[in-house]
Amino acid sequence: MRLNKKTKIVVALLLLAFLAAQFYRPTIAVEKPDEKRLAHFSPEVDAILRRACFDCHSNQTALRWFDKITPANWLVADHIAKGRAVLNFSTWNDMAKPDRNAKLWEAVNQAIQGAMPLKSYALVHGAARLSVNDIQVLKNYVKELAPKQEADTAKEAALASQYASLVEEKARPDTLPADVNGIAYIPEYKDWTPISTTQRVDNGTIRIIFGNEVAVKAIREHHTNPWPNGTIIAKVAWDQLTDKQGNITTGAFKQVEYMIKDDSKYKATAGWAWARFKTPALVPYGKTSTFTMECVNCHRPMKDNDFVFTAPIQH
Amino acid sequence: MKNILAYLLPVILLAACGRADNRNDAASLPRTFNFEKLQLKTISTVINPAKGTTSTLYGNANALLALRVPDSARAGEKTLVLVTWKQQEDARWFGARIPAGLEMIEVVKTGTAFKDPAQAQYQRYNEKGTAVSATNDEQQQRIGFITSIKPAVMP
Repeated sequence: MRLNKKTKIVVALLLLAFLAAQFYRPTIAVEKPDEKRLAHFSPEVDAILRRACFDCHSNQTALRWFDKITPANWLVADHIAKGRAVLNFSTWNDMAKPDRNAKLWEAVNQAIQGAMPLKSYALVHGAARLSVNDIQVLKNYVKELAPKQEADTAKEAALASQYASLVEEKARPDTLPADVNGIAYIPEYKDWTPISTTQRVDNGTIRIIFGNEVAVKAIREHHTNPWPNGTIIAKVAWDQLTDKQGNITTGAFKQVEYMIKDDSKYKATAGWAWARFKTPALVPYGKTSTFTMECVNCHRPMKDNDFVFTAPIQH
Repeated sequence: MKNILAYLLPVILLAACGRADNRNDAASLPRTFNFEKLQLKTISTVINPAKGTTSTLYGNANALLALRVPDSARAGEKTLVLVTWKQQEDARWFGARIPAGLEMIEVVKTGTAFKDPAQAQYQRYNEKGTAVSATNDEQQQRIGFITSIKPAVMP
């Protein structure tokens, strides 16, 4: 095929533009690890995480030649910035131990559900793909991190102190707190219908999930995917308290979390408002308005389920 | 006509198949039990790891207050309902256990204080909502257990 002169000029210009674009590139900071802050688990787990997660979830990114070509590098830089913001194994030890455990359980769950590593990344970085065996190694490791279920006098004392204030009705603050996004605590959740319960072996809590009237109607009418606007789901978490017979029941109140559905108002956060209030003092969670991205990211493996983990029970 | 159907069929199938409805059907309460009509408050939840069951306790306002302050001799009818499910691993979160099939529903009613289990009436229902019998000893043991559950702290 012979190209005419016009086509030749167009091709030459495009090539020139492509070459010129190579000088316009993002900065992707790569640092040597600070051993004190760097995550270390078992050698097996470390090998898997370094192979599948570290490119985006550490400061030790290993860029391949094709990651460095403009415009691909802009996409790569964006993925890395977002990845490091959510989870960074290079600064792992900056977190408190319970937070580290929760984060690792979350990461393993993201891997089990196939949400991580990102499909688009694994497609071109074959070594990052996780095998069934890799997943099993990760599961076995986090299982060992789970708190032991046993009678605990400190937990009993924590409940007793909360109980005394509850009976005297001193626990709740005078005005209802609201979080940084203006989402206020909703005390009515206790009168809603419980739509499920959860025993969280991973973090030693026990939970009741409540649904408001809109949610309960949606469950009855089989309209839970997606949930209708106006749905509110409240998840209440307590310490697990183990009694002498070995039964587990609710200990000290830890937090209540809300998901409030409005697909236009909360479009940017998967169609839901997200809020969490901790301790009987109902301290709102989240310092900046973007804390909700933490919620959305953790719930993302449930994107085909309207971002809801709970399978609701009709009462 | 055949051609039109050939074009329409995939469209109809797509519309019908949408996203799967999200419900825990096996755990749902039998309609005949009429849970809604009882208008109960949620009191607490208890797990029996040995049996692999999870239960949630509900009660009317009188029952809730009586459990909160055990020595109070509140007048009026008190109703407690304990619903028990088998537990299962949560397929959506490794590390969580959630209710599976419904196992039974137990109802305790009394006009006096919970301290007095002999005065309480006990009825058990199976997973289909059918009333089933329990021996006297069993009834007393279950009344004792159900009325000993402390209400959860819900600010």
